[in-house]
Amino acid sequence: MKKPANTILMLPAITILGAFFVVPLIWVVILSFLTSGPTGEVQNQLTVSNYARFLTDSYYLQDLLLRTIRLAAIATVFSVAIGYLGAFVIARAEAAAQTWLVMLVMLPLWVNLVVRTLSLMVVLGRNGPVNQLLVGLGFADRPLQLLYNETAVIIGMVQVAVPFVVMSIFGVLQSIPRQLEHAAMTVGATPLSAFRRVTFPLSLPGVLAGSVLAFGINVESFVVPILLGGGRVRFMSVAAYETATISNNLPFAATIGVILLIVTMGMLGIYQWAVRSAGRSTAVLQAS
Amino acid sequence: MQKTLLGTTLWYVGTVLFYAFLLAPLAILIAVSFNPTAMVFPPQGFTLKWYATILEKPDFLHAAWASTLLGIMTAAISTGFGVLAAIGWQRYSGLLKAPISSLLMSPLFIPAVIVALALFQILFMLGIVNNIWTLVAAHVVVTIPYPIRNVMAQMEGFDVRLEEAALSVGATPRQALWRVTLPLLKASIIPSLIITFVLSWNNYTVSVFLANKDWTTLPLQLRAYLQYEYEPFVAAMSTILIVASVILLVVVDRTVGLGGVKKNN
Repeated sequence: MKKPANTILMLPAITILGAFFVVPLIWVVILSFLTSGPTGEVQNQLTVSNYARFLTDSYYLQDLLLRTIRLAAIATVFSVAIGYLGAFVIARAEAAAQTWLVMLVMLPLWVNLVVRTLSLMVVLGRNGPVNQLLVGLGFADRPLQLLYNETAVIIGMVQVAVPFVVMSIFGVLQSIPRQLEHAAMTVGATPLSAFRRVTFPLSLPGVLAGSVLAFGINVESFVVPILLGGGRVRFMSVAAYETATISNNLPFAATIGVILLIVTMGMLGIYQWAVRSAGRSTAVLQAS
Repeated sequence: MQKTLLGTTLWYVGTVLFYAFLLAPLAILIAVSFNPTAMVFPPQGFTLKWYATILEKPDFLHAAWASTLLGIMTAAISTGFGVLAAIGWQRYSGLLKAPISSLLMSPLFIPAVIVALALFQILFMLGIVNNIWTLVAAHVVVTIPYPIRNVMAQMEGFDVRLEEAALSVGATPRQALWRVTLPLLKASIIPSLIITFVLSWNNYTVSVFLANKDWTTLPLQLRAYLQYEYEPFVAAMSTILIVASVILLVVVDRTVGLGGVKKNN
């Protein structure tokens, strides 16, 4: 068919993405190299001073960027561990139960994130079930402050990321033939070692994909650090928002945004590199 | 696999713990909405009064209305543009095929907070504020990869001869599109409409940067209540939203299956 007609079909989507996505992103990158005057207006002079300020001040580098990465990484480890358990349970369930189990994992994804975070605020609150349990079992004399700290933010991020991890790993586990595990056991492997030596290594691509997905979701968390951090846990996305809307320092907000973007892009890059080198090593394995 | 008692027990314990971790907080929140006294679990009684309170909150009803309108507009535009783009892309064979697909998918890889920040900054500079259309456009940007991906995936296994047949018996390209191609794509268009609506309806990050007072959406309003009125009526509102999500999820699963709408957020 004629080419122009096909291009016209793509035009609305390309136009809206160009105007409301590509151009603003380019503007943000430019803005990050400008500075803000004493009254908040943007000065037309290119400078790297925003980046210099961010990278030399430990208030931004240590307390903001590295904290964001650290919390996201810790949450990712827990998400993958819990997500693997979930994926394994679903993969080994009977077919009839599987549909339901998958649906229950997907359910939280459909529920508003503010609602899900609120539910954690109730659970972890001063009079919440967790505190009642801790006091009731004698682990604490009086209710502890479980909210508005790094642990609460990590728990929130894990909650959000787990369904994604489950779906990534479940897909891979489904594709591994069960006969491999059975074969290992017929030649004398215990179920545990069959899992450790056969199933687990084969599921690693899913673990890798799930980890990258989880980290990407965690590092850009916004609602979770706002609500569960209660303003006491500094986080990149929240800092970008506050710098833009409250401090009104648009160029510096842009700098924080660009640095966050670089972190997520870097992570994607590492992922692609890992997939490629994993592909190469399995190729070597098969060749030998 | 040999099933020992210990193994089976561990298995069930693991399953229960996993699902409790995922779903118990929501169940607890629902229970709290029936508590007559405060936002505390377990409830010290049973009441439906908080549900009645909701009707006395005009700003909540207004926000629900705003979110619904915004969601419908986003779903219509995002799915409409997305379907057209996917069809166009499938047929296009120029040099820009790969770059265009990267562009169409790129909102998935850029953090939503950066998309929102960028739009906020440029609109601020241009002096465009308090505009519902910029909010709709922003919601379209962050949702459009989903319909495009759904339709592209369905078109992979598409029989182009059906369309050629229509053309050969005298249909114009436009008729072939409306009468043949689009009806065939129904299986990916309907889930796309639902998923884009849900994504828009639930979106907080983009809306907080771009929404104004007249268009305070439901997530924003809920967050405002959390800050100033931490009472069980917030749990009651949440319960309504949870029930609505569950109904939508079941409807989608029963009608088209969940395969087409994996991975949202």
